[in-house]
Amino acid sequence: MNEHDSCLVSLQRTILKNGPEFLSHKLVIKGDLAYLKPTLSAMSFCMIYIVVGVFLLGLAVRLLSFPDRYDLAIFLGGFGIAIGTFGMALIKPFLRRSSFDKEKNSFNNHKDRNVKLGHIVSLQINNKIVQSKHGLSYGCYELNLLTQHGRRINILNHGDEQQLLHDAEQLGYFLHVEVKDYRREIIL
Amino acid sequence: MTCILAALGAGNMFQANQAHAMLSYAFDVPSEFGVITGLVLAALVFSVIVGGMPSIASVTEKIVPWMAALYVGMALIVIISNIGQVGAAFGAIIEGAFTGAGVAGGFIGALIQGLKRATFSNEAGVGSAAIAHSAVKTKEPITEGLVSLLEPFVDTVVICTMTALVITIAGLNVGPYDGSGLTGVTLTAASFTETAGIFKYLLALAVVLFAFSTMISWSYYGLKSWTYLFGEGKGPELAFKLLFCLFVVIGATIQFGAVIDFSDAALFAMSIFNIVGLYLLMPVVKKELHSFIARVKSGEIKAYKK
Repeated sequence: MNEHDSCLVSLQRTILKNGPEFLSHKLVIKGDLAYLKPTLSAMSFCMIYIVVGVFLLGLAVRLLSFPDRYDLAIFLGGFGIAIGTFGMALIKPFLRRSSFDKEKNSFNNHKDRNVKLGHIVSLQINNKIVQSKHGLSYGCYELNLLTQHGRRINILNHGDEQQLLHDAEQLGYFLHVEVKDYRREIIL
Repeated sequence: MTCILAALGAGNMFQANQAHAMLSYAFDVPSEFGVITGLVLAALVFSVIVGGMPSIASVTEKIVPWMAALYVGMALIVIISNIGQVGAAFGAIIEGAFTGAGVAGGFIGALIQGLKRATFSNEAGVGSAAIAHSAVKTKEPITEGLVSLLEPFVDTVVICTMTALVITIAGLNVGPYDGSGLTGVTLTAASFTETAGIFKYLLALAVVLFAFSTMISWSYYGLKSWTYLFGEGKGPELAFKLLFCLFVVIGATIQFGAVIDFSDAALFAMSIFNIVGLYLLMPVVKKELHSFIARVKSGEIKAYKK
C-alpha cells in the first residue's frame, strides 16, 4: 500500500449505518439560501415521546395533591421525565436546520465546521439496507457531499428514494456541482 | 394467520393486560384506568414499530437485561431468606404436579395447565423465536438452533423455578384463578411483597419494561406473518401496525380471563402447524447437526477462545 492508497476515500460506503424509513427532510431553496426542512412525519415521530412524557408528568403532578398517591406520582413522574427527555433529544437535531448560504459562502449543519461552498466538489447518492430487530428490512438513501479536502458530510438520510433524487438534483444545480450516483444492488 | 393471532394475543394483549394489572396491584390504580396504560403503551409501541428513527426500544434493550438481573436478585433474596422452606416448597410443587391440586382434572389437568404456561413462557415449539433467529446472518444456521436451546433452559428451568419457589413459599396461590383473585403477575408480585414491601415497586418497573420489549418482539413476528399473507408494502404494513396498537389498548382494558384464553388458543394453534413442520424437517436438522459436529471435531470449524 502506498501513501496515496491510504488516503483514498471509498465513495461507495455509506456514512451512517441507520436511517428512517420515511421521508425525514425536504430541500427548500429560497434565493441564495438552500436549507433542509424536517417533514411533519419526522416531527410527529419525536412529538410522540414529548407528548407521552408531558402527559405522564402532568398526571404525576396532579397525583401530588393526593398524599396516599406519592408512590404512583414518583413512578409516573420518573417515566415521564425519561420519555420526555428522550423526545427532546430526538427533536433537537430537527430544530437546527442545515443550510447552504451563497451570501456567506458556507454550509452550516451545526456540526461540521468551516465548510465553504466553494470547497464542495460533488454530491453523492448512496444506498443501504437497514436491518432491524424490531421490523422488516428496508432501503434507505443518503445524500452526501464531498469537499476538496476529502471530507464526506451527510446531508440527507431517509427512505424516500424519489424525493432524495429530486432534492439531489436541485441541490446540485444550486451549488453548481456534479451529483454522482453510487447506488448499487445490495444482496443480503 | 395463527402467528398474527398469537402476536395480538400473547405478544400484545396479555402483555398490556399484565402491565396494567401490575400497576393496579403496586399503586392501587383502578382497573378502569387501563385505557390510559393502554394508550401510553400503544403510543410508545407505535413509535418503535413505525421504523427507522432512534427509538425508545434501543434504550429499553439496554435496560431490560438489568431488569432481569434485578428480578433474579429479588427472587434469590426471597429464597435465601426462606431457605428453610425451600425443601417443602419443592415437595409441594412435585406433589401438585402429580395430584393436580388446585387444578381441575387432576394429573391430566395439571399436565395441560403446566404445558400451557410453559409454552407461554418459553415459546418452545411455537415457532415464534425461530422468526427472530432466522433473521441472523450466519454460514452455520445450526448454531442458531444450538443457541436457541439455551432459551427454554434459562427461562423455564432457572427463572420459572425461582418464581414457582417464591410463590409456593408465600403460600398465596389459593385462587380463584378467573382474575378475581390473585393470579398472573399480581400473584407473583404479592408473593415477592411478602418478603419486602419495596419489591412491588421494583417489579412494577420490571414488568412494564418486560411487557414493552415483548410487545416489540411480537410485533415483528406478527408483521412478518402479515406481510407473508398480504404482501409487503406501506399500506399493508401500516394497517398491521395500527391494528397491533389498537390491541394494546384493548388488552389493557379487558379482563384477564378473556385475554389468557385467547392467547392460549392462538399459541396452541400456532404450535400445531409448527410441530408438524418440525417433524418433517427433522431429518434435515439431524443431518446439519451431524455435519456441524463432525466439522468442529475435525478442526474445520475452529473454536475461538478469548
